Amino acid sequence: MKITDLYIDKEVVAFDETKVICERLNIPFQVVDSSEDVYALFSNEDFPVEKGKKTLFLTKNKGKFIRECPGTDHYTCCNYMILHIGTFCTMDCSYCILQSYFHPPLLQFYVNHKDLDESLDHLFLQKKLTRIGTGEFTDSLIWEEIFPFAEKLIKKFSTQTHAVLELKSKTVNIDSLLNVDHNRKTILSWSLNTERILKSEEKKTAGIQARLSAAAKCEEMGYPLAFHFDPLVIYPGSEGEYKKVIKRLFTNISAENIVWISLGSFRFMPGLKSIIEQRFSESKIVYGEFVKGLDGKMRYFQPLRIRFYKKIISYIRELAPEVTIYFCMEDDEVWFKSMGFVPSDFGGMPRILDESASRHCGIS
Amino acid sequence: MQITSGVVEINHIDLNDTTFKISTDISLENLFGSIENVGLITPPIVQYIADNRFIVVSGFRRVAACRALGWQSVDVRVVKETQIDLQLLKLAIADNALNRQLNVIEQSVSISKLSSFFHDESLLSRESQKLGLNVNPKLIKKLRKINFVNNALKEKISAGIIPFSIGLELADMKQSEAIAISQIIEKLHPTLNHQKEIIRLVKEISRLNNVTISDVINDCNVTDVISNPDFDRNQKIKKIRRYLKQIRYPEIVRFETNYLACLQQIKLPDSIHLNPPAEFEGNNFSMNLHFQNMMQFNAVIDVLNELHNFPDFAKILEKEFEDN
Repeated sequence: MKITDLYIDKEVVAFDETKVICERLNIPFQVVDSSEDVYALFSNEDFPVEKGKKTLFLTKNKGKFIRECPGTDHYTCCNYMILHIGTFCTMDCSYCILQSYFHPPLLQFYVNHKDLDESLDHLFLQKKLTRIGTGEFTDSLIWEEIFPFAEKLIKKFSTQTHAVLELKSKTVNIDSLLNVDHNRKTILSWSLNTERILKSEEKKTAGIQARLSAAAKCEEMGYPLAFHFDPLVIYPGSEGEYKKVIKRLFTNISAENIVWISLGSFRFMPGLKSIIEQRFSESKIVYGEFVKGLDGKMRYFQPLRIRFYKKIISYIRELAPEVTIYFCMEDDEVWFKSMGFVPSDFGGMPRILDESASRHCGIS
Repeated sequence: MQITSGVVEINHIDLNDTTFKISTDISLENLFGSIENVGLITPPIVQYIADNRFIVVSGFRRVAACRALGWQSVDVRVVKETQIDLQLLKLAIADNALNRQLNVIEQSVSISKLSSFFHDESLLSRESQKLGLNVNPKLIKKLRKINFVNNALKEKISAGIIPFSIGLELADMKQSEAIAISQIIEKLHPTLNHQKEIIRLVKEISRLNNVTISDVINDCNVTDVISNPDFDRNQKIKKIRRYLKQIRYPEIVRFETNYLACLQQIKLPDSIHLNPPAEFEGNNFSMNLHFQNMMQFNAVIDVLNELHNFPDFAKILEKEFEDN
């Protein structure tokens, strides 16, 4: 994590978490009265994303730590919950929605962990089966370099039996997690993609073998795992290349220990296109056969998606017939034509995933 | 700033020095009549350089018109040689901008010249506004960019033949490519949306296939289409868009073609219009039924009742077409 500019909300200067981060980063910092002071630095910035990836703002999460995944209209959501620990990412994936999602795009780490603890305590008291993750608005493990946070969360989740935490990453920052008593209440998950996409679109991320080796290590330590083929990118030869990745996945990892595999074809808000064109001039990822979906996002033309999904699913099923596969944000038509069933046949998508989490993680 | 009135010999005014030139209009015809009838109402502003030489600060066309009319001398307002360039530039811009609406190229020239003195865009914006240029920092970026297109394109932009937004797109291209695109626009006058679509498709095909924009245009036989006397303007635009779409979105075009082929097999009458889901996303089909009386209504119902017998109708609803 290469942070060059550190800003600290005056309300959190005295927090222990702040002190740890300042010590680890060991760079000069500026205390600000409010977030507006930091946001103002981006107002006339020609390259806000680049600046945002090097600027860290330590502050409080003044909203909810636990919130529902925003999902999107017209497509089936899995009722995932988000544990909102911070924003943005130090890695640089061309397709990353966070480039245009946050205004400004800025690394923020919320250090009011006492409030976070209280939110989790409240959640656990509800005794409701919950799947929750930190990898929606940031990468779950990038923060490990400046604050040993995952360990704390894993321990907290290990003490209850209703919720499962998913830590989703493209890093291999797992050293601090290996010897933690997790009680299988934390799923460690990785995004997977082809070598070509990693090379051309996922800058500063760990390589595919490194991710799989890290996952294998975590499996050895008893962690349940998950994998996300999201975004799936369609390009000449992509089917064969995804097949190779899937083969590598099951060479390194036992299918029985995988809680779920998600599939999601590349989709993006129209505004992201110009950012990708400007920031990643060599990328061709936005030049697929996209149409505007029912939610306003650009998606691969539906017949292409279905054809592609069918192939990917067949590759997975060949090696792991029983593994739970789900689509992130697709409709019943795509489910039926690609999987042969719709989620409601099995009680709905949340139930399918809850049951898999119950089986693998022992939650109820 | 000290300005004195005087009369100078017209040959002593150097029209080739364009340091302060803002105007893109070089036509003199409309000035001839005015000057011949009522004389020179507003004297040009010139700067004394040295050795009885002057350069124009504001009033290039007026000096040129007087010279073309055979005048030997002209009334002028003269600023001293010691006057700093920024003050004179401001004078030139204000004299133009406060008297008429500057076209985008004139705004671009003004901003580019002012940029030598103001590097900060917010400051440049504020200073420009004092001179009658209503430009914010965002527009300043665009105006600076448009200043880099070649002169032929600048003329087309200032004449309104190429819209400003399209000019900005062309500014990113090589000169030959920008010219090739501008020729399509000039010859066919597509709507602005169609212009944008054509440019987007050409650029994306070029990037996708690692070929030049000129190659894309040549491969699409654009020149042949444009010169084909059998097509009218709208048909030519439609053909070019279709060619480009076919290359950029082969699967989508193939699907649409197959859909239309199936639709033809059903032979729906004009009174029934089937609407597929937008972009074939989702499965929300709809129909428009047109009838004026009970007899026509019954005829429509009869057709609808028969639709389930057509395998092609089922294919349409399933969105599953095989290639013909």
